[in-house]
Formats: sequence, structure tokens, C-alpha cells
Amino acid sequence: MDAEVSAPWLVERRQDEVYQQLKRVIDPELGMSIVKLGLVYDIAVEDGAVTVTMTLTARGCPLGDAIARGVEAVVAELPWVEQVTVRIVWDPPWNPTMIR
Amino acid sequence: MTNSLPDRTLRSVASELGAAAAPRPAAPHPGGAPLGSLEHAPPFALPGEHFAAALGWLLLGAAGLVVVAPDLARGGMFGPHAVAVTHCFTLGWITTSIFGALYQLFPVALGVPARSVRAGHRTFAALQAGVATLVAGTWFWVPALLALAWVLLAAAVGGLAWNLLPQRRRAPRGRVIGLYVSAAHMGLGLAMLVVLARIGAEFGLWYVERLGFLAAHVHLAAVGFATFTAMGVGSRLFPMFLLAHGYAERPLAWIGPVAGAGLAALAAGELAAARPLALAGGSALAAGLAGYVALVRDYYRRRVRRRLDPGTAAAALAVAFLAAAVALGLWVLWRPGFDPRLAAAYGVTGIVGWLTLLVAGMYQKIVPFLTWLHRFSARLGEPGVPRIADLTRPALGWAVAACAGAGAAITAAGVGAGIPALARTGAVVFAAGVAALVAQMARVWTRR
Repeated sequence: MDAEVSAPWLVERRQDEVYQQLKRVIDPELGMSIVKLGLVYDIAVEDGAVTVTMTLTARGCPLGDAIARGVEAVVAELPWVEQVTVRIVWDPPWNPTMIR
Repeated sequence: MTNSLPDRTLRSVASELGAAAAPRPAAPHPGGAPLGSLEHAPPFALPGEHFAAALGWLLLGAAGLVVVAPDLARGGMFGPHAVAVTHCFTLGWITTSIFGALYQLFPVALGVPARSVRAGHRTFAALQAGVATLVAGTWFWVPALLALAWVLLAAAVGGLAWNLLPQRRRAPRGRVIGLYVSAAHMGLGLAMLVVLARIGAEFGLWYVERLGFLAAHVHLAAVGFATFTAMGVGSRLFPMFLLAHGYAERPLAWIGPVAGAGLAALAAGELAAARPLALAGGSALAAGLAGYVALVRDYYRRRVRRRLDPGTAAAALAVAFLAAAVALGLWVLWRPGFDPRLAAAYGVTGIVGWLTLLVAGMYQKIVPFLTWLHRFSARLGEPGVPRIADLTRPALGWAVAACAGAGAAITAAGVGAGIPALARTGAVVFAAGVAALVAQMARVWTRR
């Protein structure tokens, strides 16, 4: 079982599933998904544990908590997910050119 | 391990903020809270009561402007009713709004909370009692009420300063905002000291030269307090709302000192009847404010979010009024003799055009924002959750910008040109904009 879930093809598929889920998290001020805004830097999948590394449009963004909770909630909806970790990083800092 | 969400979801972000025990990720950033946490934010009621009361004062001020605008056009800027209406705007609307916003802003932008929410409610009560007493005392011109109002307002200002300003030393971020807010409170404190001299004169204790007193008081309050607060807070809000990152803080390193030094010299020159000092100070102040206008123009020019919404459009219009006020102020300062109509037009441009429209624009961004956080943030990611903009009605927002902007401009023109009917027409148009703002806020609050 362990060998199966760590197979590269499965990890990639699960990363993509997480990515698709994250498109549902809309920044309520800008009206764009956090994926389109370029806030998601990395998605790491290890067995049932998902770590989303992301940033916010600005340090001290008042929506930070809400967005992190939203990420946790939508990723946790995937049936194989056992734990979700959201890492907020500031390097590289976000800027508007990161919008996709 | 169960399949329920709370057990499956390790809220590492919350844990970093002290909310739950969960595995921490490696520290991804040095120092400071990782998120723009609302953990330290006050209950919604604290800023909410300020904003609700401020809107009431704005309505009263707008109605009062309809009454006094013709008097201003006839040169009656020192009349008790004009003074009362002015304070509905400056203390009731602008200062109450600023106090409410600061309670919300400090935790979010600086990462430190107010020392006491209960003290915040008491400060609010003192402020409202002080404004009501002052407005009644000036409208009916009762010096004893003016003295009582001063005590209440001093308690409110002192309470807010005690509650927030010492927290700045512990702030992990937001240095520029903190500096500007602290400087602004110095301006407010000085404005109150100056007015104490005026109240003493009213009791026959001493004599103050009325024009010099008025110029010092108005500039310390409207520029030293309100505009400096707007500059500090705006350094955060403009880039955030416009998506104009990276241009915020550098020019503010010189704008504040130049404007502040100019303001101090202008106030000292006016109080001491030292015209060369007042001229130099006023000119430096104008240079600093012009620099600020250029900075905000830069935010707007470089913004990624090209389409303006009613809130950011109203704020842009407000900055145009600031530019006009700077030009008008220089004219009032440098021309020989004193023209009360021109001075009143300058006051209308600065207080009704610049400050009121700016706060009205920011209300349309901040109040929906806070309401959304309060009501919908827990449901982010679920279908059917509205965007923040969905809480407002755009037509009402555009009516605010159009009517309040046009109304302020027409009123200022009518007052400056000495045409009472035009001044009153402008005040009526402005009041329509205020009514639209109140309707907008009611819609935001009732949206489910």
C-alpha cells in the first residue's frame, strides 16, 4: 500500500486534485481564485498528508486566516486526505505580476 | 484516526497563532506573526459602534450644511451654527470613523491589539458625549458646555492614545503606519490645547486673536490629525485595494517630516502673528501635501486592478479635492487681507471634499470587508459564498461618489463666489450623496 501511494504518478495525480480543489478558494476582495492570483507556491503530497505552501497578497492581509481555513476545508474534502498543513511564506513576496 | 474534518485537518496556521496544538511546519519566515491574523482583532461591535455613530453625525452634518451654506457664502464662517456643523463633520464623522478604524487596523496592520476592548467602548462613549456636548454648546453658544465638551473629548483622545499608541512599540510590522498615527495624535492633542486657549478667552481669562487661533486649530486638527492618519493608513489601504504594491513607503519618509514641520511653523506663525513664519510653514505644508497627492496618483497610475470600484473612485476624487485644497490654501495664505468666503471655501474643499469623501470611499471598502469577515469568512470555499463586492450595490456607490463629489465642489464654488443659492444647492446635492452612503451601509449590514 505504502509503495503504491508514493508512486510518482499517484503523487502527481493527487497534487493535481489538490490544485483543482484550490481553484475553489476565491479571494473575496479580488474575486479571483488563489490559484489564479499566483498565491499557491507548492503542493506536497506524502501519503494522506498534504502541505500547501502559499503566500498572501500582503503581510498582515486581514483575509489571511479566512483563506487558510478555506484551503484546509477544500483540500480536506478529498477522500484520501488525512491531514492538511498550510504554510504561509513571504519569500518570494507576492506581486501583481504573479497573477495568471 | 477518524474521517471527521477537525481531526483530519491539522490547523498548523492556527497553531502558529496559538489557537490549537498541531504539528508546526518549519518556520517559513523570520519573526512576526505569519498571517494577517484577526486573532487580536476586537469584537465587531467596537468598530461597528463607531461607524454607526459616525454615519449619524455625517447625516446631521450634511443636513446642517444645507442650513449654513448660504451663511458661509455671505462670509459668516464664524457663526455658531457654522462652527457646530463643522464639528459634526470633523469630530462626529471623521474622528469617530478614525477611532473605529484604528481599533481594527492596529491588530491587522501592526500585529498588536488594543490594550483593552472595554476601555475602547468607554472611549467611544466619551467621544460621543463630547461631540454631542460640543455641537450643542457651539450651536447655542454656551461656554460652560464648551468647557465640558473639552473635558469629555480630552478623556476620549487620552483614552484612545493610552489604549493603542504604547502598543506600537511591540508591533512586529507597520512601522510607517504607527509613526504617522502617533504623529497624528500629537496633532490632535495640540489642536485641543489650542482650543483650550480659545475656551479660556470665552470665560474672559485672557485674549486670543481669533483668526490666528482658528487657522492653527483647523490645520492642526484637519491636517495634523485627520490627514496624517489618512496618509499612514492609506499607505496600507491604497496598495491593497488597488493592487499597487511596492510604491508605498519610501516617499512617506520625507512627506511626513516636511508636512509636519510646515504645519508646526504655520500654527506657530498664526498663533504668534508672525506672518513670515506662517508663510514659510504654510508653503512647506503645501509641498508635503503635494508630495502626498503625487504619491497617491502613483498608486492609481501603477495599479494592476484597472477598473475602479465606487470606493476607490470616491477616494481618487477625494485626493483631487486635496490637491484643490492645497492650491486654495496657498491662495488664502499668500493673498493680502482676509476673505472669509475664500477661507470658508477652502474649509469646505478640505473637510467636505477631501476628508469626508475619502472616509466615505473607504467606508465602502472597509465596512463590507469587516461584515464579510464577520459573516461569511468561515464559509470560504463553499459554493454560494458572496464576494465582498457582492455585499454592496454599485449604483448606490456611484451615487455616493457623484453626489458627494459634485455637491462638495458646488458648495465650495458657491461659498467662494458668494452665491448663497448655489452654495445651498451644492449642500443639497451633497446630502443626497450622504443619504446614498447610509443606504449602502444599511444594505451591507442587512445582506445575508
